[in-house]
Amino acid sequence: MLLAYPAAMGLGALLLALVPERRGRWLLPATLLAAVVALLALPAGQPLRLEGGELAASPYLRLWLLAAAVSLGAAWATATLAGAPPGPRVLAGLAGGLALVAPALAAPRPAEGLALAVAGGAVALAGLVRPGAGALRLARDLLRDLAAAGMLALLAVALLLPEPFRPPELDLVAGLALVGALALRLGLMPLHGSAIRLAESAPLAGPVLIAWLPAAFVAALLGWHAAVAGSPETELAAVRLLLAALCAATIVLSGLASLAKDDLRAVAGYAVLAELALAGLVFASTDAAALSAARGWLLLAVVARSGLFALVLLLEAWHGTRRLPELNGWARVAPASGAVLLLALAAILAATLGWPGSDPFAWRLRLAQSSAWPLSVVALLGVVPLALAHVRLAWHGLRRPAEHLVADVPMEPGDRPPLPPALDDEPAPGPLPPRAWPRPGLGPLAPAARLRGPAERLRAAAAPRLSGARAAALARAVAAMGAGRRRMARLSGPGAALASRADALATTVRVDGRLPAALAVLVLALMALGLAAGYGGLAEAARMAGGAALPSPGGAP
Amino acid sequence: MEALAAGAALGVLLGLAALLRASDARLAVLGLGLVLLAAPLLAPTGSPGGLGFRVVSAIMATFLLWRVVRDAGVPLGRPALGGTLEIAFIVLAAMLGAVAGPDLLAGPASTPVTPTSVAALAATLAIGVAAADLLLFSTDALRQVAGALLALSLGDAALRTLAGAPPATGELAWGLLVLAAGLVGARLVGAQVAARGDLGIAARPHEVPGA
Repeated sequence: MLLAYPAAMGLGALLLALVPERRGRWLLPATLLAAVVALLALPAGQPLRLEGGELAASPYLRLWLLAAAVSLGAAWATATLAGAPPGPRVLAGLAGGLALVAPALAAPRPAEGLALAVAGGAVALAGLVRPGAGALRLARDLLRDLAAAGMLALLAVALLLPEPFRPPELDLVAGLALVGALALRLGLMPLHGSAIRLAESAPLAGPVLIAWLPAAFVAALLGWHAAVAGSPETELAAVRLLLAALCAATIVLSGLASLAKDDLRAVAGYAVLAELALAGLVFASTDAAALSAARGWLLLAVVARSGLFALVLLLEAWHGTRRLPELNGWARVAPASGAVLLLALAAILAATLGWPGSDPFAWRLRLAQSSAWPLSVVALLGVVPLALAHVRLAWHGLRRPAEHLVADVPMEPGDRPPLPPALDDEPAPGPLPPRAWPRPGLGPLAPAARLRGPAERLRAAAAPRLSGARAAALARAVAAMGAGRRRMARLSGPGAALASRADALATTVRVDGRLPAALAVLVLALMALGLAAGYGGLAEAARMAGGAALPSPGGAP
Repeated sequence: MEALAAGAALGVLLGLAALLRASDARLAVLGLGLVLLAAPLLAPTGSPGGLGFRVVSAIMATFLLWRVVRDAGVPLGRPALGGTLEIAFIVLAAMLGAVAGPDLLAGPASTPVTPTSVAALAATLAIGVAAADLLLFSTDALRQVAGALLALSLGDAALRTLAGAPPATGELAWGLLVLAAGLVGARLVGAQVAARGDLGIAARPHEVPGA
């Protein structure tokens, strides 16, 4: 049964890659559903015995795979409901990549886990490759980074044997190989360029490629790290200091970048890098207690950041821009969905910050303390700009709405610099058609066409004096009052006022076509918050997760 | 066993030479395929089934790349140092490995130092030099993809040389990795040919911002 999850995901990926797009619309949700069912049916404590080892399904692995499937499903639902469904090849790559995470995390030896985690990254990347100078350059850079990280990690595993078999003269080489592998795979500064370019190019695939799969890579290394890095030799101490410095710098600079950047995709991308760098600090530690903190933090962070990416994707699809200054009032132009998204943003922030006594709070402290002072303080303070970036996003949402958001008209082509197209969209044969903007049928401003009878006449009458959106809003309010008139007639006093307001609110919610997509984002955010609050037993699962078998002389790591 | 390892090391060197010197993409792909097939035989292998899986995955990865370049007659980019000099570097690395191998292996290897392991180390060093050259300095997409595959082969060969043969699960994982890397490489090379008609990666004038 342990292989049922990768089998379901792998088969789904194959079908997505082969079946024509219009027939494959529901293939991804069906695949994810089958994978989740396989996971839930997975009996605990029954390892799959293979020659030379066994694949064991720990509670941590089960939680990880479940969260990955739900996360990908929610991202797909968000993109589809927002009117920007991802291409099947992209989805095939993502499903195929996640299929390999299961055996990677269950592998009996670190080398096998690493090989499978890198293979997952390669399969996911294959779905993103497409013609175009920028896209090809990015794909080449990502493949180069992936291969180099895999090679260096395998080299480190080969050279850093556990005591007493380790030749100390090679500690420095092996340690530097490990630092290089982590820097390339986690996007530690200054090697973060490809990861950020990917985040800016592919909002749906981005979280999988720069968060989920690198996190699986780190998780595959954790058990091995516990065995070999516990002794504080001089050479390894220097390497640990270098790694801690890189991670601390990445945490702070990524936080500052996410606060300073106007491009929402870059904001989400830098947030991912900061969270993964915090997990990377565990390799600078000689404390075994940091391992469970890193395991828990990895899963929580990638779930929360997937939610942030989904939110960014939604705002961009709705408003045709991802520049924050152009999104002033994004929460006010559609009050119901705006409130849901603000709630989701707050949940993401709360899940990653934690609160005193909560698991994420303790994990962050534990991981920051993995490095020596003052790097530990730097790593800890790095969360401040990151949290402020969330506040900034919410603040822009609550400001006076930008004119082009209220009027629901696109900006003139020369009003803003062009943004690169998303890699998530499937390439159309021949020249690309102009992208419809704003997307029809979305939001409280567009459904003016749904108004009928007196409401439509009122809207038409008000149109010369008011903007189209304000006239539509006025007409809807009148229609709402008309619909509730009969009920309100039977009430009087405060009851009538309350009924009137409730009816108007219900009408607003009903015509807000954006709400289902916003709820999909909220699901992800609440999942992260639930994990942070202890639901699902993440902390216990992270503590119980066993490491990979230790290498031994004469036997492969 | 020693003859097999020596033959595999020779196969690796020949494959690398073809990959580095070829001006035809098909010859470069065949050279890469030869390296991928010979590399598992350098160091101790696990079960015959595991070895078979590795061979099949290497053949499939090569075939995926071959499919992309077989009909097109796609011109390759010129090697950064002309090709011959690069071949000289990998031969030098192999000779260094063969001469200094026993001393180098005496420390870290957890398996006994034998002529087989020395030959494996020599070929591994040659693969490493070629991988670094292709990843950092190549001027076409096919050689960059080959560099990525060689880098992964280097990690695998180092692991086998220093720590011995992996079990069946290790062979399976490695086979999947080669297959996945071949898949993404084939997609990348195919997209490159579709977009530009050649494999060069240098930006054209209209692709340079501000040009």
